[in-house]
Amino acid sequence: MEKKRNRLEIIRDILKVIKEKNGRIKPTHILYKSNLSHQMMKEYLDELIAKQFVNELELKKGKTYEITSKGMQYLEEYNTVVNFTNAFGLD
Amino acid sequence: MANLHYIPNWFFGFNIAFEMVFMLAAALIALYSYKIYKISSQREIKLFGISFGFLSASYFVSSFISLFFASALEGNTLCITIRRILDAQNIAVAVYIGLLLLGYITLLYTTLKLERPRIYGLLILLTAAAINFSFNKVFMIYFISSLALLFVNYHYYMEFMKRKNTNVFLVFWGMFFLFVSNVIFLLQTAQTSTYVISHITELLGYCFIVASLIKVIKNGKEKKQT
Repeated sequence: MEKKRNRLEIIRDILKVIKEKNGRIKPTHILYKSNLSHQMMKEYLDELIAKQFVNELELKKGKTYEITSKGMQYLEEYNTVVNFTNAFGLD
Repeated sequence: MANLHYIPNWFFGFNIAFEMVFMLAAALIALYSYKIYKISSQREIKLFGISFGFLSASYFVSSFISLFFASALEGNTLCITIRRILDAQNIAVAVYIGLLLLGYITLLYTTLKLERPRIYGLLILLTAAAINFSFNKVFMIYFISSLALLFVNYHYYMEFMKRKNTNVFLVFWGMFFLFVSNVIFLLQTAQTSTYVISHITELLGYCFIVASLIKVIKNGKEKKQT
């Protein structure tokens, strides 16, 4: 059985899904790919918007989420962040 | 009037060097935490950095106090005194105590994974009240910091049991030595050897914590290169 993902892993997974879709994605795709409940996904997206990891765009085809440069930096430095939080028991 | 520290004459100068090393080590941890916080925006990392920022500032003030306010006692001993008058020395000592306790309480609040800022406020108010109404203020200061570090140690022990990795192991021993150093201060008498032993133990603590941090930084650099 796979172990439960922690907060940092879920954030990474959401950002990765957006990045893999050329940086822009609809919420239904995030829901499908990130393996979260609708409520959880909404909470995480709100947090990611507040932290400026993603932008919410209102397009003709509906709501779309776009990864920001800060979100990209998080993905690049993910291993360093995880090593630090693991070492100092902060996750 | 109470004496905060008893410093042997021969150790004067070394104690300031020790405190400068502690200040640099704590500042390094605080700055790297800030760097990681800028990337991740995780609240726990910010609080962890702030706690070491407070500790770093407290070591700076402590070395300042040792340098300018240590007064001579009988038998080749210096001491730092807490008096009841409002002067530069007492303000400096109060700032040192405030920063030291804020550092440990913030660290405790972070490792307990508490979400509500009101609990943080309550911890600070209870600490201030306990010291203010205590007959033996020096004992109470180190009792509270030791108690906070005891809970921090429990957190790192559990983390080590969960992860079984070298970095957490180093941090656990680092925090353990910081705890022991505080307990030695708690038990200090007019014997000056406790002051020296406490400084050496604290140095060991920071060596372990900084070693873990260096491993994290090195690992991060290697991962970037590959």
